[in-house]
Amino acid sequence: MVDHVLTWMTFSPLIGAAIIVFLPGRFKESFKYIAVATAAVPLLLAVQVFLNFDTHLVPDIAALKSAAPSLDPRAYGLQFVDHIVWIKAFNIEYFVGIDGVSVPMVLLTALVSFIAVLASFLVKKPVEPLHNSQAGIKVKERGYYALILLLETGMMGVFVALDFFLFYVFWELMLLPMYFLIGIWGGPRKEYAAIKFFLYTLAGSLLMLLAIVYMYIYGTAGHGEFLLADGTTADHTFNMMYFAYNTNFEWVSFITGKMLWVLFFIGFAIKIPMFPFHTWLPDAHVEAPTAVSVILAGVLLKMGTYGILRINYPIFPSETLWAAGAMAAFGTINIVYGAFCAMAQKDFKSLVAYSSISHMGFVLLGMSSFTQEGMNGAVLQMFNHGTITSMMFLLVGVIYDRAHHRDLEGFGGLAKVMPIYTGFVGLAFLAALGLPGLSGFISEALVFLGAFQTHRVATIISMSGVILAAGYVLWMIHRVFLGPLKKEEYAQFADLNWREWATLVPLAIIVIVLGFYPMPVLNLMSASLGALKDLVLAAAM
Amino acid sequence: MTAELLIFYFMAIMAVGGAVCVVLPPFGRNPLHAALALLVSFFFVAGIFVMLSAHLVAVLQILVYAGAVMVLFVFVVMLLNLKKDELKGARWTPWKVFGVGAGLVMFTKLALAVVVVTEGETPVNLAAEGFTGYGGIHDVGAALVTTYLLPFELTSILLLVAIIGAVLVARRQTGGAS
Amino acid sequence: MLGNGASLAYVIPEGILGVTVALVMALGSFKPTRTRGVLAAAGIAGMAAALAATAAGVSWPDGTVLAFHGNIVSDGMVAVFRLVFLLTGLLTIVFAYGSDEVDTRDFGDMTAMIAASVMGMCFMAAAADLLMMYLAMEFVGILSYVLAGLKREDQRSSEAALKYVIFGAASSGVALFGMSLLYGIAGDTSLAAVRAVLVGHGFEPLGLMALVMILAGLGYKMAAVPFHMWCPDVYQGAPTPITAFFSVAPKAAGFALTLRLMDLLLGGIDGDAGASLGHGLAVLIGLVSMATMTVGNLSALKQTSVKRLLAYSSIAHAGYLLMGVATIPAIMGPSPDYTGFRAVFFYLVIYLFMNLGAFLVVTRVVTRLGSDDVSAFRSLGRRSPLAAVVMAIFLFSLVGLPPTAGFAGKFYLFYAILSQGSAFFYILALVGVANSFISLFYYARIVRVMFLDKSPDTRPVPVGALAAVVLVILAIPTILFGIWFGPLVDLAGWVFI
Repeated sequence: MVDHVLTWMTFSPLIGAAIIVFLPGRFKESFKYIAVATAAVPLLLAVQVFLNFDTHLVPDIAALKSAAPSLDPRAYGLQFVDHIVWIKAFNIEYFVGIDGVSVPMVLLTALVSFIAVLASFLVKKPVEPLHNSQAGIKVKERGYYALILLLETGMMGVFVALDFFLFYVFWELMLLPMYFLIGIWGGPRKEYAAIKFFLYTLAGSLLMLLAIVYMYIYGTAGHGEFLLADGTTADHTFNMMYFAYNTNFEWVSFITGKMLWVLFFIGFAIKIPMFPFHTWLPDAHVEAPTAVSVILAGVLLKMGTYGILRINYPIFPSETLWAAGAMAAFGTINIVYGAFCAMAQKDFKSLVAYSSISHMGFVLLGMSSFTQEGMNGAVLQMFNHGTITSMMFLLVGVIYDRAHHRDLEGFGGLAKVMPIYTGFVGLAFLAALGLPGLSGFISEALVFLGAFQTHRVATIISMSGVILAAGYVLWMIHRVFLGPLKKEEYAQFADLNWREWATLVPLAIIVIVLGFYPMPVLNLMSASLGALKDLVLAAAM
Repeated sequence: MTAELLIFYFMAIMAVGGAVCVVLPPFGRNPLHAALALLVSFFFVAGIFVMLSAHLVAVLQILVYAGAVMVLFVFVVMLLNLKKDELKGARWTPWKVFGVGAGLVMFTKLALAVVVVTEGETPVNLAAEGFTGYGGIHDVGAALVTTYLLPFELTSILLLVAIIGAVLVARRQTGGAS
Repeated sequence: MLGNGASLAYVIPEGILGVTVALVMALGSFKPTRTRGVLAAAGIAGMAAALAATAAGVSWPDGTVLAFHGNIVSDGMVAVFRLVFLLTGLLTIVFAYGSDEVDTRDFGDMTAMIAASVMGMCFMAAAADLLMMYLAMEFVGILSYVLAGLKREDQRSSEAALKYVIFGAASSGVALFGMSLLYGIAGDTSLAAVRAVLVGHGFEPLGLMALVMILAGLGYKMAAVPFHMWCPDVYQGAPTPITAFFSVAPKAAGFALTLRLMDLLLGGIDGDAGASLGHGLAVLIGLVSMATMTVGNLSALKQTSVKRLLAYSSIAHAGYLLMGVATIPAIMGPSPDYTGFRAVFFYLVIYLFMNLGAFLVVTRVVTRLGSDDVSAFRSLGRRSPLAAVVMAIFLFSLVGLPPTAGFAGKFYLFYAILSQGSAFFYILALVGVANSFISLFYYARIVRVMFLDKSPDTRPVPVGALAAVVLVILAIPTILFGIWFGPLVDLAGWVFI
């Protein structure tokens, strides 16, 4: 048992990054081993969190609303809490902890980051030096592994932070490594893709910063004093829990509340990415190296929907209800639009990127339903999409490593050459389209079940997304794996190597197991999501 | 009283008129004439100082400005010895028109503001207030080494450093290594 | 109000600087070509002594002391601003020592001028009298003109110096005229007397006009739009270490003087006339702030010379800082709130580290490669990893991204203006945010060039051991104050207790 487990999970990659940065150049060969060992630490700690997580703990909302702010984390439904005062002058606290909303994300981050580091390993020496291969990092390994570990710290921090300031710092911390990872190790148009990603995200987060500072100044006015972790009291606070449970929003006119809601929502929507803020995503994915794509799709996109659940829902419940219809509508647009775009793609990777947009639409739709099934489905979809899309990007990387292109029209007949590879592709893409028995089905079904009760029209339209997904997945399989080989040399392609096995198998197991028995993950979240749903619905009365 | 006011207006008009002549044609066209117009302005400003019983400042005004500074100006003007065509009057550009307009607005506003502030105030009789010898060497000197000692000392350091700076800027880079 | 003798205890750091100036000048007259190291050591030692004395609490009273017959005021604000000026001066001498842009024969005089100029800045922060205020401004101004023209063989440097002189003379003339109006109203140069008369007779209209004129003169020092025209040319023409100095110290001094003036005239006053004046000034300064950051950022976008780019960026940062100055209404009334003014100081300290750091990298690149064009930075990530990595840190800090100190600075500023709670300040904050966003384009361009672009020339660019150490010393606070800025908040608390 490790104490302060969330702190260790967040900062152990940072320690690894520091070691890699300061090691002399002659240890060059060992950078990747240090990186993978470091990334294993959060993964092992994630197991501990998973085993010790109390799935029944929920905040007692009625009691909290009437009570004075307290320092007892369990009253707020939080576990594994570390809480100390960080910068006293602004009442900024180092406050990390998890509840049922964040625990699936924390587990996902640890898992996907580990797999991404592993997927960066170069197995064979490159035949052509410095070819723009997208899997396997062979240049500037020091910088690459340090940045990817720094990125893990940023992502993990976002999911565990419960103080606005801390949250914002982590939120922005993950920008820089991502910029460099795409910009240095990316494809031909890497500079464009990197800066586009950077600018889109920064635009959203700056608006969020204004909202955070505004809430710090005015959001706590008239609520008396708040307890800080060191036992002193303060007039203002960044503590998200106090905002969610101890303020009752008489302070804010509904207009101001809506403005704040929108400021936060835009910041998060850019990350999801929600139509019309989605255009950075295909560019970033197409140019990013495989491992970075895996992290981008597997974890980063979830930060958007997680942020909405963590901040918009509990802190602005009545505004959330006000915007529920719009969220459902945008979710539907994402689903249908993303699927149509995916169909039109010629590039294997952009197909997967657009399918991500489509699948994140399910999360938005489920979230906006305010039913137990819909909310569970949304968060489960976040987790499942993280594992399934990671697999899909890894698989695209496999073929790109061999063929050095990703043109869907350029393959054909690979099923005969690479049967195991074909099997994995089938598994991942069928999971993505929601084939019963695989994990994607459960979450999409839950989303539809929940959303149908609240948004009938939107749900019916969204169901066409599943059909469209079947369309683009089956057509892709047809073009790439069936029929004759397009080029003679493709017959020489080797099937999966050990690294590819090692990265794909764990994800495949999770996809299959959760397809039959999703309860381990569902149990983690459902009590907290139920409480969150009640909190929001209570604002309607 | 009336005589004093008349003398004051005369001096003020001459001082301002001299300053205007520095920049406006026909004097402004010729650097030497402009310098002489400036000299006129300096003299009458000194006269106004005298009327304020600031005798020392009046003397310094003539010695330093009308004397030393003006000699330097004339010296530089003659040293440069600019040709006629180099001195051709500048054209009127939209920016200049705008500048003149802004200046006039500023002047009007200031003048009105001064009128508003001084309305109803009676002039102070310096002698009656006990300011005898107020602008003389003795009083200025005493003020400089008591109340204004710090600015005084700061000025002396400034002058020292400024002289060195002037030498530094004027010194040739290479060649005369002496 | 203390007499001259008793006041000496409150100007000890300035005294140390005066001795340093004399010492360096005397030393410099012997074999100036061979004593660069000695002169640098003397200058650094003098600055460090003054810095250590200030940090140890010398001439740092708990309250407010009027010294030298009310010519200057000594309080915590003077002390903390001294730290900023002295640190900048010290680092400038270190930069200049390693740069070949400053001729060895001029090195001693340059060191003396920097020390003297820092002394003038300390007096700018302390001035409590119109005469002293103007004198200190001119003191710094005249030395700056000389420093800008140090590269005599370079036409651009001479042009820069001339431009600086002409703009400086015009703007200080305007400021002086404004001061003379205040003197005319009050019959006294002391700001306390001016304030008493203004409160008694109302500030409109002459007092307001005088203040606007003085602010125009100060706007030149701060490089605020529309008084910024000199800035890019002077920054580009002056030797790079001097540019680094200009971009921080005189600007900080201009802000210190502005804050001081506002506090002495308006701090804590009540009465309706004062209130309307305060709001008028707030709107005026707020508009200037918006114009300054927008013009600075938009102009920086298309620059190819990194020095010029940083010049425009420093204009933009003056705009951010002016947001804090615009909180004048808060300092009036029975319970004055100086949060905005403290934010200015807070930001200046952070700006010192990140901006000097960026300029030091430019200094090294100019010294090694002879060019400050953006293309000279190509592949710097490989050719000089340390310089490139710290440069990236400084640039991202200038954007204001966490976890760098620039973020803490922006956070404090936004906090200060959002707590004003009026629509105008919300708009100001939005403009500030939009500008932070724009600034990413050009800062990221340098980062992109350093890490993402390939250069035909891949030879290493050595930074030198001394510069490497200084770079790391500057990079540490740039990160540290981003994640732990509590101490800096406490330090800013000394600004108008």
